[in-house]
Amino acid sequence: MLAVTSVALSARGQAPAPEAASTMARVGPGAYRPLYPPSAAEAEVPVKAFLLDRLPVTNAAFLAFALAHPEWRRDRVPGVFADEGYLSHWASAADLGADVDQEQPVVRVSWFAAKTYCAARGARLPTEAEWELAASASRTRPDGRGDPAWREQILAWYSRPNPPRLPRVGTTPPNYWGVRDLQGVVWEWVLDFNSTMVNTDARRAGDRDRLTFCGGGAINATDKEDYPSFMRVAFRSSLRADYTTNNLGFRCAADDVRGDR
Amino acid sequence: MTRSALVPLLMAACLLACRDRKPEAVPSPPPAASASSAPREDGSPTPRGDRSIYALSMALTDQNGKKIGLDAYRGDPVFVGMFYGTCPSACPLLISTIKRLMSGLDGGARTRVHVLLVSFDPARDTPDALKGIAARRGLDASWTLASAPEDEARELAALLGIRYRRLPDGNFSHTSSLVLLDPSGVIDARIDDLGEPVEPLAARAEALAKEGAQGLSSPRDR
Repeated sequence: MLAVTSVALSARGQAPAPEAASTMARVGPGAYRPLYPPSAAEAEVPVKAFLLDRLPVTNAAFLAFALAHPEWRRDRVPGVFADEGYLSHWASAADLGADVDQEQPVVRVSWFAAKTYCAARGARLPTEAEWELAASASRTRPDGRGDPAWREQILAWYSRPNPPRLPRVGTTPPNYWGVRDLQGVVWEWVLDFNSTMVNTDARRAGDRDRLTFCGGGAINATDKEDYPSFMRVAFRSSLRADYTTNNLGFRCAADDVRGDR
Repeated sequence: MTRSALVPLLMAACLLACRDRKPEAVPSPPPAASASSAPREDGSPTPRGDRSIYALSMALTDQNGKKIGLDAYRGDPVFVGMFYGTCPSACPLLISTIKRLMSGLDGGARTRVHVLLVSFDPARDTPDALKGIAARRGLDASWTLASAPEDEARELAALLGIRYRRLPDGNFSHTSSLVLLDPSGVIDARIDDLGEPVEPLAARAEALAKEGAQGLSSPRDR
């Protein structure tokens, strides 16, 4: 019988460390208006003020994590926590190699890995509502979604093929909250990626819905022009927690201990 | 639309479509071919190929107030699902489906197969509340109803491929999957729609129980 070790998603429960103000920005409070409100009551989701990394997590930072928590090295992590592509762009389990820039955002990380990284810092992944609230800010306004020029910029990124080489973090200008790279660099994990349920298949219409979804409501897009949001909804609903892809990274968030003021 | 725009949409479309088929046979693990599963880079024993969900450490509280791990029934086949106690329709149906499944098992399997239902809703699904459900629904000792801290429940849902969301009114919107774990905690079979036939799950549970009884994989037999 195998002695299967239980890898605790290890850093859980550590006391939150006070975050350096310089690495995290305070975002909100505000309201997230989902593109597909699953019910009338969810048309607007209040979001408390929270802290969010100004930049995505880099290769260098994730390497330091993997060295300090070897159960998250790519050659040791249990298969259920990360698929075969996990960190496969690095030269080896403990070395980035010459082709990988330390300051590029880390990609090919699973949700479990991202979540545990943040926990090790005394932080957590942002919720979808938090992430979307932060990402809806333009350079000058907390909600830039009504601004066609800003929307055009974002759309330009979503429609561009992935560059052969990822840019370093911090190459895009800070938004209203002082957060960079929410659009234009990589897709990012959110804590509740598995709360997105897209249910538009005609075969599931009618009574069968009750069998699968408890309290699921009709889906109607609120803003049909908001194509980037649609893309993110589609992307998140396709994810599994062990997935890794070459353009999916993450950043961490934390509660704002100062509270709403 | 360019390629990068299409990829996520296609991924989403595919996964939604795939979920609607009848996956009584679980997708086989991805081929072990890439760099990360190649020869161990430091020569240490690696769990890399281990597909057991018992790798997740959880602090569950069962209907008797007892603390148990996710792997409480390691060594035996287990049906695992997620629910919440105040759920109006899908969760009672999940329980009815499993009851029907369990009562149809052959005698050997009935003594070995366990049911573990984990709640999304630790605040309301206290041990007393869970005990009440077990009594009302006439669930025998092979059933364990348990709750987990919210963060751990989300991790378990992620491992099982269950999607859920807390609604503003306190209910949950969720998919109803029923997963069969083999004695080592590897997902052996599943249904993702309670309208699917359960016979394939029952057949797999009986087969696993039989293997266990022959001492192939149950630590309890040692």
